[in-house]
Amino acid sequence: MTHLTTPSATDGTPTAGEAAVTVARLSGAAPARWTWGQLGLLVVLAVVVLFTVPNPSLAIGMLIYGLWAAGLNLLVGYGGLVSFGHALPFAWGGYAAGLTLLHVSSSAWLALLVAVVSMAVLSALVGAVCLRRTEVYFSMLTLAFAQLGFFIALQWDDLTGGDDGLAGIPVPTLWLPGTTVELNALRDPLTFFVVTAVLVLVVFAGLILYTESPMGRVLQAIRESEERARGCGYSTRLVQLATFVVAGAVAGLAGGLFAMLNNFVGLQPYWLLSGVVLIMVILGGRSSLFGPFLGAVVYLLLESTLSRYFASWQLIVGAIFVICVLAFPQGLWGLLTQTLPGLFRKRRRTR
Amino acid sequence: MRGKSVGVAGAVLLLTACGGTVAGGGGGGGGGSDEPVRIGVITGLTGAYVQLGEEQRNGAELAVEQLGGQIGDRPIELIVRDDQLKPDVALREAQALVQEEQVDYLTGCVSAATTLAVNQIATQAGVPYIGTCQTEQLNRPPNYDADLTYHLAPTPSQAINAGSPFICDQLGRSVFLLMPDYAFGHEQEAAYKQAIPEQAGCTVVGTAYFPLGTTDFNPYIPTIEGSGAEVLVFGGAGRDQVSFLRQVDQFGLTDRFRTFLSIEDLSFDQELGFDLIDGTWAMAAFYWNVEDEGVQEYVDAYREAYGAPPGGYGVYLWNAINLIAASIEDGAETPEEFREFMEGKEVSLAQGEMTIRACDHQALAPIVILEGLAADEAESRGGDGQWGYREVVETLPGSEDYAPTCEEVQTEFQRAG
Amino acid sequence: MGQLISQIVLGLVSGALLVLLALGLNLIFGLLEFINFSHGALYMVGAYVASYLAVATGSLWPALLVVPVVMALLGAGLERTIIRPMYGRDQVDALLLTFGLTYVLIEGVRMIAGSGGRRVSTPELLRFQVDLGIVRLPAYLLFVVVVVGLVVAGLHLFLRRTDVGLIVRAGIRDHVMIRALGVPFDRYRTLVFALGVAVAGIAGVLTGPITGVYPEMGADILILAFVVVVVGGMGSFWGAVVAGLLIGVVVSLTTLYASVYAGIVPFVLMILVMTFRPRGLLGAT
Repeated sequence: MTHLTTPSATDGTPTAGEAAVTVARLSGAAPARWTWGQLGLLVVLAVVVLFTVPNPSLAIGMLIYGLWAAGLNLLVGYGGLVSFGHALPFAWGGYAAGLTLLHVSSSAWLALLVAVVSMAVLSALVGAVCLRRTEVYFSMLTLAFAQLGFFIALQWDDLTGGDDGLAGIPVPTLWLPGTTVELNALRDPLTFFVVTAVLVLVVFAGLILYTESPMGRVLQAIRESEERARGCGYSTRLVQLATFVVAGAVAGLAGGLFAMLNNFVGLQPYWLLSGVVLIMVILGGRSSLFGPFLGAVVYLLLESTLSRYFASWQLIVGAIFVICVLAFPQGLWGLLTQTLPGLFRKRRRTR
Repeated sequence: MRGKSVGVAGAVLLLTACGGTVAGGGGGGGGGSDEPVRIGVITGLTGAYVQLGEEQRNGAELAVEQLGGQIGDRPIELIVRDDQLKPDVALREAQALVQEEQVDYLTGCVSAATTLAVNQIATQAGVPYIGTCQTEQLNRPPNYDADLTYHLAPTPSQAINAGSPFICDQLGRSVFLLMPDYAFGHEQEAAYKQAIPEQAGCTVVGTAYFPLGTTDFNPYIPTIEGSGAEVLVFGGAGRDQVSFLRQVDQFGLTDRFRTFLSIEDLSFDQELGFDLIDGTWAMAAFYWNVEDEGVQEYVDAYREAYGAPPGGYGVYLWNAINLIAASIEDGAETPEEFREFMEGKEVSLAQGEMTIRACDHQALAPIVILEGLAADEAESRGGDGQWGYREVVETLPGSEDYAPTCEEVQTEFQRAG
Repeated sequence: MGQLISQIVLGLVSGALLVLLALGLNLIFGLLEFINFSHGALYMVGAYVASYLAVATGSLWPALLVVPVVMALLGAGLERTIIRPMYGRDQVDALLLTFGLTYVLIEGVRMIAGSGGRRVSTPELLRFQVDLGIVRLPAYLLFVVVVVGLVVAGLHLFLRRTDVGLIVRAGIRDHVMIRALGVPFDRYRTLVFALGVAVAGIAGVLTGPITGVYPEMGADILILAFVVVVVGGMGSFWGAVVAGLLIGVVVSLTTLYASVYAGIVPFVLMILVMTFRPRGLLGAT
């Protein structure tokens, strides 16, 4: 438990690092050696998606959902805070970006900036209320706010288009040093993909930095024991709130990108949508940032292929989910980094 | 690092194995003389309206089968996708159909939210889209694209303008509206509030909304009872309708109020059963027992193929595919030529006599008024002991009178720019 | 005034079924310490079993006795196989497991029984209305209220007056201590899960004639039942009862004055309760 008492353990002495790994292993956090390797894996995954997924919209969607899920895992996996309402920041980001493009300017930067900043502010407000409670109560409060958001989006149809959706969002233009590009996912999916991938990678790297920062360490310490962390003199609420804001802002960015991808923001029950992104996190594994990303890609792949051949595809998704929780509580990530290597090791030993 | 190297190896392998995709770009499209006609259908095959979605798929598959799988020398390739009733999935599947499958036409939908999403992609991609669910918004700005958007289902206001005289003349002169709280309900409310007062001495005495997915209608009973209305008009579909009718029946309301369902479908009827349907009225754009040659041809073929008469949603798909086939046989290859073929088209298909008017590509087709029957009347009045839930008491032919005039449409377009 | 009272009466009636669902959920939470997300789907399964029984026997009455037994067995089976490995793990795991189970149950029923709903008729005996002076109520709804009352009373007596109930209650307080005393605690967990599922089954039987039976019937009402549990206080028996009735009345009154808000009011109520009474209305502080 040494790492809990060394507040500035950014990388720490070897002993502190080792202790962190032991604790992390026990509680399911990422083995330290994978920290930056995740970024490399993400690049590989993006390339694989680029060259194998036949539907460009699905490929780009995978990046966006992946980012959304990775951001949620800051709360779920690293913070032990299970949000049932993570559809809210995603949808908000979509509306914010969509309305900016529709009424203000066709600049992609501006739209994304508005989506991220406005969502960060909203997250701070929602988080301030939700984080006053823990565990199930926290989950239920996030759900309540998501329902509230859904209700407002449905009722305020002059602005949002209600359940008909926000249609006619213009194609955004992206200013880059020396050039501007049009982000038209339908005409030029490659550009859209590359831009999205770069954005996602940068944000993903930022998320890794965050989990490795003192703040991120404290967050994980709070998950293990809030009292102990508080006893160490940390303002636990503030750390959790900061994480809530980061997760919200990331989801807002993802939502904004999604609105640009479709030039449309649709409305669907938020508790369902929140459930889907939570499934992605669990499927991929809670102990890393890359896991949920992988979970999103695999989920979308399952959904889009199974649904074409098998009407009851949700049965399979449900069954996979049950098996995942029962047999691979660490999700796909755990399967790849722990179970499989473990098998290899055992075999070698028996030999 | 083992995982990483495996990943890299996998990526390289896949890279060499597959070409195409985002990076590769699509192949060449365009219609040659024996190039297949690719028709994409997007509908709700999971979610609350599965039965309507399945019926749309059936209607489309039946049409293709009856055409012998080809139009002239060109084989038909029908690609059906599930939108789960979610707009984001509809968007993704529409993009997949456009980019991956290079479809020439898009059609299908059971909810307004998904139809507008699909239309968005279709208009961007330059693919004609034939909408098949009841909404006012599809052929209005900002959704409507004169080159590409078509609408075969009646808009709520068309149906309501056609049905309101019957409500006021035959059922009663004071009306209470109970509407679902989403676009479909709001559109109905607006239409009823305009159409009902136009009938002499007829008024809307009260309105209430129920939220999406309401199963408990008990709290609405006192308001309805206290309204003093003679007619109770219900605007919900599917499960809402089943829960509603069960509960007003338990309260004995169907004996005291004349209950009128704004939207009927055979799949809902099956869940309701004769007991609940008896003593109610309803309105629909299609009913299997309508006396019309085109309708009956379709009904017979459908019954033979699927063992039961069709409900109201498959017919749009059947019509859409037959219209596409007719246009191609007429020599229409491009979206522009399809538009030329469709505008002002007068045909008699499975919906009966229908005109697709030029100014907003809205189909003007008949609306039927139905009276609910008891089980022992089904054979004699409903035409079938098992499926004769309702008797067609009135058929109102498709007409400009029930839709906004083309001038009104024009001014709306001009206002939107 | 008359209308206000009748609106409240109808709200109480609507709340009765919510109470039943919330009680089962709460019982399971109290002892097993996880949220059973599949509660709604199990309620749906109960309703389906009832609908088939009703067709086979021509009446709903046998279902009212058989379904709780069938559902209790199903619950016990589930607990022994897939729920048990969840003990001692993160609360979240069990919640997610039951989330997946929900998909399996809904799609499984859809595969067996079809996507379309099934009809369940109101029992012949109860097809009339009773005039209570202020409001006319269907006899069937009064019957539902009576059954809910009996179930609540039965559960209360079971927990208060029997030895088994004593152990369960003690387990809810502190299961480490109970186990230290040598009580075979696992068996009681199975029992409580089975009991909770059986109660959900009864709710399913009763709902059939009110809304019909269909695969997704558990989804929306489950969220509302969660709200009831949280508002009443997690693990609080009477909290669930009071909150269920309260939410029924609040929704009913909202319907009268501003029907558009009827769907969102329970969530607003929950946020308010959470703000001022963090452990719920009757939760232990």
